[in-house]
Amino acid sequence: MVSDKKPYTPFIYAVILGLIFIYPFIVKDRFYFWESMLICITGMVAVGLNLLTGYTGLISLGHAGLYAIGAYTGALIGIKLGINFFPALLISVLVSAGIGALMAYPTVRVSGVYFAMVTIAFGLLVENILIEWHSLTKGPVGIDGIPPVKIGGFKFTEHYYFYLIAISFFASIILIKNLIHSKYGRSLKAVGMSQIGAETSGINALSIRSLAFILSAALTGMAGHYFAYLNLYLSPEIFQFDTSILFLVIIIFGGLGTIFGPVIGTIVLVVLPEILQKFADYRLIVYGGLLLALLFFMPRGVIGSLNQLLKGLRPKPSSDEDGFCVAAGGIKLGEGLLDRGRLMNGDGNLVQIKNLTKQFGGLIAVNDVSISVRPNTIHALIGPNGAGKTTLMNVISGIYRPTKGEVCFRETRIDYLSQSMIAKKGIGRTFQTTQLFGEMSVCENVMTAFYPHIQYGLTQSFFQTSSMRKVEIEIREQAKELLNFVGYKGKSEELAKNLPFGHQRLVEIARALALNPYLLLMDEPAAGLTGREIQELDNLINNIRNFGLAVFLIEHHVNLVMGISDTVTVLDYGRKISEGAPDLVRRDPAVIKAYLGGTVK
Amino acid sequence: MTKEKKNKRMISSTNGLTRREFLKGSAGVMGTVGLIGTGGIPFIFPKKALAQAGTIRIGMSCALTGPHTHTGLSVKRGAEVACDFLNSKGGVLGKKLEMVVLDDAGLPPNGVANVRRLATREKCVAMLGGYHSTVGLAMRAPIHELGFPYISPYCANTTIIENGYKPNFMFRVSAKDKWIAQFLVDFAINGMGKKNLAVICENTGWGEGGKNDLISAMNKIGIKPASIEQFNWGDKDMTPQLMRLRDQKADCLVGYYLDPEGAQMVKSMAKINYRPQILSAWGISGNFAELAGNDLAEGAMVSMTYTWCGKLDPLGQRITDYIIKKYSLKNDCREFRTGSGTANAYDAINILALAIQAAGTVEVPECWSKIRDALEKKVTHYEGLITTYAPAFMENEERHDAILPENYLMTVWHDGFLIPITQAPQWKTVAPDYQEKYLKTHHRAREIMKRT
Amino acid sequence: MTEVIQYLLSGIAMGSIYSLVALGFCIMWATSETVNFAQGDSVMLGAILGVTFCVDMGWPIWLGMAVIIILCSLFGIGLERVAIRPFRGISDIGWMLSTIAIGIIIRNIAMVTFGRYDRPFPTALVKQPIYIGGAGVYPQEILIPIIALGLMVGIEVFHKKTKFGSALRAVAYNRDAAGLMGINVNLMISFSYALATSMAGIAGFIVAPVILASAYMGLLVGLKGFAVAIIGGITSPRGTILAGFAYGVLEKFVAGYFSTAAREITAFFLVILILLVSPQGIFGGKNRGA
Repeated sequence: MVSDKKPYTPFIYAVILGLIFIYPFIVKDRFYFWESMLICITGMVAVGLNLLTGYTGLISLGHAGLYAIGAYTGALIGIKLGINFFPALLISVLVSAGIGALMAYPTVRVSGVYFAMVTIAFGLLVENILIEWHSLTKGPVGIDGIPPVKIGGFKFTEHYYFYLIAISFFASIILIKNLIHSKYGRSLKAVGMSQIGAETSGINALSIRSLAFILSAALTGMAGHYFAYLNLYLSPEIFQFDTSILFLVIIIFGGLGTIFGPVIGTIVLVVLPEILQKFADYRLIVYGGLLLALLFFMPRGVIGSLNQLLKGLRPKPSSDEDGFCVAAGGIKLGEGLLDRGRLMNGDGNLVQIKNLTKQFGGLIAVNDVSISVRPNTIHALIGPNGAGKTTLMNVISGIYRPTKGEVCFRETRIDYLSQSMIAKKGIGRTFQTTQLFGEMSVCENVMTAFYPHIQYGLTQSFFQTSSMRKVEIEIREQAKELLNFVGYKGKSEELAKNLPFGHQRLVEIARALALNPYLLLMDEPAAGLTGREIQELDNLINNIRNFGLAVFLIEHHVNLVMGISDTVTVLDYGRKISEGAPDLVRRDPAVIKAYLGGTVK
Repeated sequence: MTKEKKNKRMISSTNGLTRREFLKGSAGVMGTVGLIGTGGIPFIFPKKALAQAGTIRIGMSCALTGPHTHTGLSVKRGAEVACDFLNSKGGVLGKKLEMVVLDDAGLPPNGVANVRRLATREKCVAMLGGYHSTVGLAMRAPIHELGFPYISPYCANTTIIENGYKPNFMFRVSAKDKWIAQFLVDFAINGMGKKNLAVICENTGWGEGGKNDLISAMNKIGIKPASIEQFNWGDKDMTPQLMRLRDQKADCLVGYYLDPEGAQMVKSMAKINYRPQILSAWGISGNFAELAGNDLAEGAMVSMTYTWCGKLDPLGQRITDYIIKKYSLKNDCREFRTGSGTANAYDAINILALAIQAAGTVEVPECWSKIRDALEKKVTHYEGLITTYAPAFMENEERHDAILPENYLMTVWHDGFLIPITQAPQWKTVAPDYQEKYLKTHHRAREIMKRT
Repeated sequence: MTEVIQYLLSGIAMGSIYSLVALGFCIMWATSETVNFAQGDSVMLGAILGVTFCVDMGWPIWLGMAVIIILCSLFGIGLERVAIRPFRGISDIGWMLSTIAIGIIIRNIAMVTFGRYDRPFPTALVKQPIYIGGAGVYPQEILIPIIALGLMVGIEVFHKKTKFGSALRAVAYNRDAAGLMGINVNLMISFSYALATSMAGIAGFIVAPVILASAYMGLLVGLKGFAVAIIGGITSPRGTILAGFAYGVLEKFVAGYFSTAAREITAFFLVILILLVSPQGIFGGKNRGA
């Protein structure tokens, strides 16, 4: 996604604002005018939900609850406390956003379907509280007497309320669009596609999900507030499970994870009931049928399908070469790339693993292992299958906590830190089965890992300031440099999931290097590569070491390992059985016995 | 475990589309365009009112789908019959009346949208509401925002009509919860001689309002309810509530609830061997006896404005025959579920017709305020199906209700039919001086009693 | 004391219905890691078909029950094929919304054909209540838990003792491995759906005499059954059954001693609490979804 601002963008915005201005003068029919406002309000909810479900991948079947909270909060403080519409709006938004933040916490413990269940329960809980808390909400009778919208003495007519609502809707689309085209957007999508890939690229999944929730809830709460002051009457029946379903259907119809999907979806689905009226009793049967048809025939939604069709019509890119091509020896890299390793001095240990034990129930996967990794070395970890190598690596990168013992990195303990913190401290990681962000381009995958180093914040993202855009252009160039460094010769805009296996490997390595790490952890990087590719990998690892990094890798390809390593550690049944220079280890009888059997049970 | 994501649906796509995917995608996009087209064109080019030249359009929003469809059908039929009868006599102001009926499925948001539709798109001169009080409550704001006259032929919540708006555009030809409550309490205490009343209501807008009205009615005559209980729609077992009431020794339960819950309530009563007298607002005027069984339903008393079972007056008989013919119903009075609505709507349309006549104009939207004024002041005498209205309405909001409590009809479930109490054996259990008072204000009952 | 007996007895009856529905969720989840949001509507099918066959058409009870089992099974198989299989493993939103859509369609077809009103299902066992310790119950309400338990025991025996049942358990344990062993995974999943929906249908059939049949009755039962499955642990059939009974009784006690208001709120609040504190449910083991 190119973040250069096209020169005609301000022009388009001006045209849209102009259309909003003249709209009340063209549409005289009060009924349709009112429906237009409802469309804008529902559209805001759709934009918010799309951010959460479409981009971040968290399915919410309870957004009617947030909508209700915004509506009732706004209405009640207007009626009971006499607070003006605008400060009340702020309060509604804050309350909704707060609850949204709370809803992010369950994602730590549950995900996927279980999380959807939490949202269902939440929506139903809110609805039932609205029904039962008579003293506050008047229960099913509902509340009315919502005061008109005013500033000072000036009362908002329908016209002006329309302007407020329409401009809010328009603004929400633009701001969210801008957010998506920023580091936050990348991180959001990354966390949805591969949580582990995101965490080890320095992105704290909980934080970014909280952000998505807060924004989504804020928009939904704001929409609820607007709704209360439009409808002038609220009752719990307006905020039932069906409403949550409708919101979801809107964004699916429009297209999950598209910018304009929510707009199209809202327009069609607010108008749809008019068409369905014709079917009288069969109305809902037709609705159910249409929903099924949507899921079967157009699961990507209108905009998504259009995008796909357009892409399909473009000529296929020329086939990529097999394998990749790593320049042996030095490549010059720009400033800020892989320069931390150089700054380390050679004394002391980079990583110090002391008496590490990791136990899963009755199974002891790693048993009292101590290893030191020195800076600027290639340190291999080998051993038969099931020896505990990946477990050990997972402890280092923070996926597991040790049962006993500790892990130190640059003299400080890291074994209690989260994965993203460890990544930020300068440890990069690649995986046996690549954890790329499949739906993002190759370039974006690498750009994602620049997250910890990018300085601009939310405000700059929302408004796409020129300094922010400069940074984006810079890191795009840097990403390309890294891709070139690892020898990736394919298209940088190719979707990661479409890559052949070997290329995926490379991209993952480039992404890990984007962290500018001191240490690179690699779990079986050669698995699945052809002989020639392994040779290239050999060059690559050497190049990485030449930039001052240390590489700690698990490998089965004995020749590769023995060829490039400075130190080799051997594990068997969770214990360290040998360690030292490759030649020594190769001849160690304990090692031979472990690999070849002998009298081993 | 590796998750194999097949290259098909929501998430993945290959660069080159398979032909199947292309066809599917195109079908989807075309389908959408078609959908938007058929829906959107009316949206973009609002259709002109379909009025045949020179009809007067009267709107109605009621539940024609959903679990309470019988209530919508009931008021729709009453209104349509009234229009047919009036049209056969030449209509109003030389024009025929036409009903424009929209479905709200008993849901407030739909009702609110229908108000706007009927007023601005369908260009009606006035509208009738439906059965659900929550919908009526929700309609107050848009009705008064537009200045569009509304008559409720059923929904009985007090504050729908006593709504504080001036000028008040909402009227009712139906019972009022406040007055139903007074009627029930009066009947229980003075008619049936009960000593220990308890309140039991459903947990909805209507039930809540009814509960409050019952408590006020009791306070007014200086008594307190033995206990106040509630249950939800869809509840199947009320034994907890009933056991508490039994412990309080309540001998009469007054309440607001619907057929299914009422049936489960009497079944729960049978379970715990507790049979107080039941006096209910008209929620159990549908298939209560069918659901509970005739035995358990026997003796339950229901406040109505009209019932189509039992012996009928001549106008009632004429309407019954017409409805059975027009809507192809069985010749069984139980087809007229929630039958008060039919009678209310019938009278409401006639009263409205008189108001339109008095207003003298049907140009929308100027006629709206004129019709409103005419309703309030100019319908001075109308001999209706339910009672004689003299006048129909008055200026204060309490009297935006046309039917007075002295005209409410007490009915009772007997042998599976809901008949006027004066025609049932339970009439004997009513105190004689109350019988006298009752008959004074129910001249039709007197007539029917004389004839038999 | 009478009160307590009353709440217990009626609570166990309703609780066994929740258990049957919830057990259905477990069975479907075990083999396919999907949840059928139309499960409550299968209960409704059993109920309204029961009224149609045994009241309107005068069939004997056993015949009605048998045909309902067949029809509900077919419904389950069809639903799995149409709403689950295309989306399973690919898109959670896909099967969630599909099953919701099918629920909407079924409910409204029922409304159009069966009618909008509640209808009674009078059987011999709901004519007169019997009195136990002062509390009144219909004999049907005592029969319900017996039938439900019988079903559940039967299903457990089936799972443990028959070859087919072992195949089902294999698929539940590790779908890919089972497939590699030559087990027809799709068939197993279809079967589990058929089993779950017919259990729900039976539940509807036996409870309709007590609570009336209507087109919309499935909604709340389905949601509560789902809540019970979560609370008990969707991976633990026994835990779910226990949770169902406990929940049915808890409902009565909460409504009895606190207020009817608190009843629904309790359910959903518990669901959220359990999902936060112990996502695998009270009795569930290591869950695969969290």
